[in-house]
Formats: sequence, C-alpha cells, structure tokens
Amino acid sequence: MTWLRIVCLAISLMLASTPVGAHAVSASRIDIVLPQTVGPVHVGVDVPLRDLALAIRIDADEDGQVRWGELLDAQAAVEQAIVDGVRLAAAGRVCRWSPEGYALRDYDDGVYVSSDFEVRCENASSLALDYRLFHDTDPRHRAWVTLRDGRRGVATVAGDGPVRFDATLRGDGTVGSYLVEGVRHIFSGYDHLAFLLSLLLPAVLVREAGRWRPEASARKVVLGVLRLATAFTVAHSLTLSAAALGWVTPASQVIEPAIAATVVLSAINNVRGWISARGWMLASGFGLVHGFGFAGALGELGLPRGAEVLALFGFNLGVEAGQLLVVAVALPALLWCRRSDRYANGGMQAASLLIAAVALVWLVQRLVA
Amino acid sequence: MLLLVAALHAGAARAERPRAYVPPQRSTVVDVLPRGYASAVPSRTSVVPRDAVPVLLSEAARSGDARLVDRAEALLDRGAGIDARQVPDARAYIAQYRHDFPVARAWLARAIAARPTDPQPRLSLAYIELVQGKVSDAARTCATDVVRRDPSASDLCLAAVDLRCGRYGSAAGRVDRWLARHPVRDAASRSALVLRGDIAARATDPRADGWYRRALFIDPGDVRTIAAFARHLRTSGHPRDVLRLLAGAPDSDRLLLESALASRATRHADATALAARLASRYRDSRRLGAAPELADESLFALETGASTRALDLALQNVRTQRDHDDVALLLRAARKAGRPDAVELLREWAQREGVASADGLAP
Repeated sequence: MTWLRIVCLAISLMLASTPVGAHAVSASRIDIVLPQTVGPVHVGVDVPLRDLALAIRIDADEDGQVRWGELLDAQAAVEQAIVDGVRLAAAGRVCRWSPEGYALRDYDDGVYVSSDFEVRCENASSLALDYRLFHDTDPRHRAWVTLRDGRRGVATVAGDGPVRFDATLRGDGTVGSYLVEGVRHIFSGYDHLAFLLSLLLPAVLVREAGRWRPEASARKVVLGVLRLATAFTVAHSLTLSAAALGWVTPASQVIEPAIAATVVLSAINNVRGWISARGWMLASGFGLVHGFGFAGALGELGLPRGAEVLALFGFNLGVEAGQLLVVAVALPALLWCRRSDRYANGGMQAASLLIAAVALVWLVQRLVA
Repeated sequence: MLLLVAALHAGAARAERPRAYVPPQRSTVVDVLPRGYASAVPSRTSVVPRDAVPVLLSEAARSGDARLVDRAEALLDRGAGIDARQVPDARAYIAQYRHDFPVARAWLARAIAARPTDPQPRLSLAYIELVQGKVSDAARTCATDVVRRDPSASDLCLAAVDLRCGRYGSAAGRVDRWLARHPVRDAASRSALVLRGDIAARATDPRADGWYRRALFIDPGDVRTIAAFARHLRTSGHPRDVLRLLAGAPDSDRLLLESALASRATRHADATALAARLASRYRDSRRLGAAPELADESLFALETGASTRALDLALQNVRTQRDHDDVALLLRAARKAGRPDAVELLREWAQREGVASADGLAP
C-alpha cells in the first residue's frame, strides 16, 4: 500500500513540523447590478482559475500550465458551469442568462476567470440566489456576493443555502413594463411635452387674414387635435421603430438639439402663423425627429432579446398613452380659454413665446454639450 | 491606526472588482497549476484514479491548498479515488487538517481497530496527542509494541515527544539515527530533516539552518518546510533572510504571515499592504465560515500591537492546541497584555505532562 504510506507519512512525519495555515478558503466573486428602471440584470462572476481547473478540463495538453487559448477553448464549458451553478430567480421563476464578456482578473490570491452575463428576470420584489457552483466537488466553496441597484449596495456570502435580496425588479419581457416606461418618458421628457403643448395651443383657434380667432365649433377643434395627434404618432412611431430595431442609428448629438429646434420653430410658428391650416404636417415632420429621441430613451433601457417587437410596442403604446393624457388635460382647458378674445389676441402668443424661449435655452445647452 | 485604516480599506476594496484584461496571445501562460492538480483535474477518460484521494491529501499538506482537501473529501463522499480499507486514515487526516481533533482521533481509532499491527495510525494519533498537549498519552502511544517493533516509526515518534519535553539531545540522537538509516532523499526524509531543524532551533543550535536547507533541497516548494525555516529565521532575528526565502513562495496564509512580520521588522515598503492583506484574509475566512489558524492570527495581532486581541486568540487556541509554540505564544501575549495570570490555567497541566520546564512554566 504505497499510497497509504504516503498519507501516513504525510501525517506522522508532520510530528515535528509547524502546522501550516490553510490557504484562504476558495470563494468566487459575484457582482449583481440591477437596472435603474427596466432592463436586464448584469451579473459578473469571477471564479478562481484553480477551482475551475479542478472542475473542468482546462489544461487540455496536461502540461500543468494554463494558457489563455486553453481558457478560450473551455469558454462554453466555463459559462455553462456558471449558469448551472449560479441560479438567480425572481417571482419563483429562474432568470435567463446570456454571456456577454469573458476575461481575466487578478485578485490577491490568484487569477480569476471573469465572465459577465446579461440576466433576464420576471417582475418581482425580491431576487433569490442559489449558489451551487462546484457543490458536488467542493461543498465548502462559497461566493462573495455584492448586489448594487444604484442607490445602495448589499454584500453577503452565498453557498450555504439560498440567499434572498430585496430588490425591485421590473421584468423586461412584458409589454406592461415598457408601456409604463413609455408613459414615464413622456412626463419626464419636458421637450416632448413642450412640443405637444405648442401644437395644441393654436388648435382651438383659426387663422384668418393674418390674425387668430377662436374656432366656434368644438367638434372641429377635437377633430383637428385628433388629426395632429395621429400625425405625430404615426411619424414618431416610424422613426422610433426604425432606430430601436437598429435599421437607422442617428447620432444623439444631432437629434437632441434638433428636438429642441422643433420646439422653438413650432412655438414661433404659433406667433408668426407660417403654417396654420395644415398643423398636422408640422406634427408629422417634426414627429419624425421626436421619434429618434424616444428611441434614444428606449436604447438606454435596452430591448430584451427575443422580445424586441413586444417591448417596442409596449414602449410606443406608453408614449401614446402619455400623449393622450396630456391632450385630455390640456384640451378642455384650451377650449375654455378660447372663449376669451384675449387668448387669441395675446395669451396664446405669450405662452408660445415662453415655450420658444425655454426651448431656445435647451437648444443652446445641447449644442454646447 | 494606520494598519486598521489599511485593513478597512482592503475590506472595502474587496467589493470592487480588479480591472479585467484579456491576454494578448492564445499562448500566454496565465497560471501554473500546482503539481497535485493533475490527479484531480478531470481527465479525458473521466475515470478517477484509484489513488486520487491520497495524492490530493499529500499535495494539500505540501502546498497548504485547502481546496485539494475539499476535493479529496468530496471524492471520499462518493467512495471514489481510494481503497475502502484506507478511508479512516484519509478521514482522520482531513479532520486534523481542519483542527477537528476529536473527529480525527475517532477515525484513527477505527483505523487502529481495523489494522492493529500497523504502526502508522498510531503515529498519526501520537501527533494529534502532542498537538493537543496530551504528551503523556503521546509517549504511551509511541511506546506501544506495534510502534516499537518498527524502529523507524519508533524513533520519530519518540523524538517528537522528546522535543516537546525539552530533551533536545535525546531527540536529536533519535532523528540522526533515523536519517542514517534513510539515505534516500524523499518526502519522509524531508519531514525528518525539518524535525531535526526544529530540534536544533529549539536548542539554539546554530546548525539549524543547515537542516532546514537540506529539507528545502529535497522539495523547495513544500510549504511546511518553508514555513518552519521562515519561523526559525524570524525568531532568530533574520527578517531579511525571511523575505529572501519567501520571494516567489507558494500562496499560503502561513507564509503570508511570515512575510508580513518580516516586512514589518525590516520596515519594508510592502509592510502595510501585506498586513492589510493578511487582516483581510483572516476576516474573510471567518465570514466564509472557515476559522483561521488561531495561533497565527494571535501572533499577527501580537506583532501589530493588538495585545488584548492577541491574548484572547491565544487563550482560545490553547483550548484545543498546546504545542510548544502555542504555549510560548500565550506567555508572550499575556506578558504584553499585562495579564500574567492568564497563563495560570496551564501550570498544572504543564507540570502533569512534563513540559513545564520546556515551556517556561516551571514554578
């Protein structure tokens, strides 16, 4: 029993040796970054290379040296091991992982293989982590976990039973969550609100002989507003879809100032009356520019893989819902205002000039930036 | 205070990931695996070698890499990589590696019952008894017929007991005899040479360096040898030699401790960073549920001025371990913390076990 002698000697002949403190316990590092609003969770998993080498056949030529090429060849196996061993679930449903990065990191106790993942989860108020990496071969293996959601960070150790984090997750594969974001964007995007308002301000008036006068028929006003809203919707939906699906990629340095310019121009148009009878043309032309702006906001959220069209539909629907809300509040007020001559002979122009002035500031700021 | 700030900084820094990088070429070597990994790495055939567990344990002892012990244990749980008759020895080894001495002794009792004529489990038992401070029991174990019939086992067993009791001449004679009978330079010789070095060091024999160097020559990568030699160099006032010895040494908490202490003694530029790293490792070990080596942590606290903490840890340590160094550490910590009474609990034990004089606890 040669091997027995090896073990026994290793034990018994340590009689005189100082017991040597064990190597720091084997532990991986997991960094979970929650999205600010909707979108995927980003998870970085750093695993000690030596732990991987004991679990996956990385050193293919068995020369005791691990080369970067061998790690690249084992990439799929490494990522699969991580996906199998690091389980995230929201609302009781397992999240879906997609690899998005593979590199190395040097920690003070050695080289770690660093894999980044985009993780898609359901809507939930908590996230459950069940860490089982190397569980079969090393039940003592653990993971340092940090969870960050922008406002706060939580650190804990995983590996000895599931860990639950309180985290507000808004799933990304549903129409509903993107719809909410669309509404949110309309109400937080003051430039879109200002543009919409500048379109609505003269909608209760008609221009005759170079002067504005109130439109007597409320029915005509409502139909005109519907025409405006439809033109704006169709136009921005076209460019939003084209940009969100990657068919066109306009530079935000151009689009953002252009949006401010559309607000300035449409507000001044209310005073000058360049285009009065065919306001829908203005709405559709400038709506194309605003569509690219919506696409920029959607781009920051990200579209879920495999559900891009649904998410786009939800976001667009949200934008429309937001617009309708603005119209629903503004239109009755404007209909009421039109009864006074002062609205047609100064009030509308003053409000438009105010919008133009504010938009001019945005334009300068965006051009300078 | 500076150390505390550095340690806190290290703790905070853990949350941040170091910069990611991609090596420039496929052929770039990113790591060299310790030699024992070959037996644990998944092979082409996926067949676990019959001796995988003992090889892993042997390499774990040599390198101080705890993950190898964990892998060996997982194989044992699956009943793979080992002859079923030898499982108690391997289990005992794993338990003693984790300082779970009662469990280790229970497994050794099973091994002795299964192989009553084999001296090896008794040698292992004697080792554990010595570490626990049960010196009389260890002497009895070494004196059993089974051990005495094997001169090699008997000499080393009794040499260790002699060393523990301060009988350096007798201990040196036994090991010298053993070495004369074993001209082959193998793992067994390495251990015997380290034992000889320890005897010389304890007896303040200037030839101690030579024994350690001969052990290092057999296996320059053995963490046990490096740690023993580094400790001797440090305690004999040669911290610069410690730094030279540890340059390029394997990653181990014990060796990191020696580096940190030597760097501190020599006012090396890395001293603060090393101390912070070590403090971080001790803290991390506790958080991960693996208690660090209490004696090492106590020594670190003592050398960095945290006397009360050092004494607390040293007292915890002697509850389970009462080797010479454990007692010496408690004495130093008690003195530095202004609590000489803290060692009183050991006096009766030291007298009873015949180590009072060797440990400086004689009335």
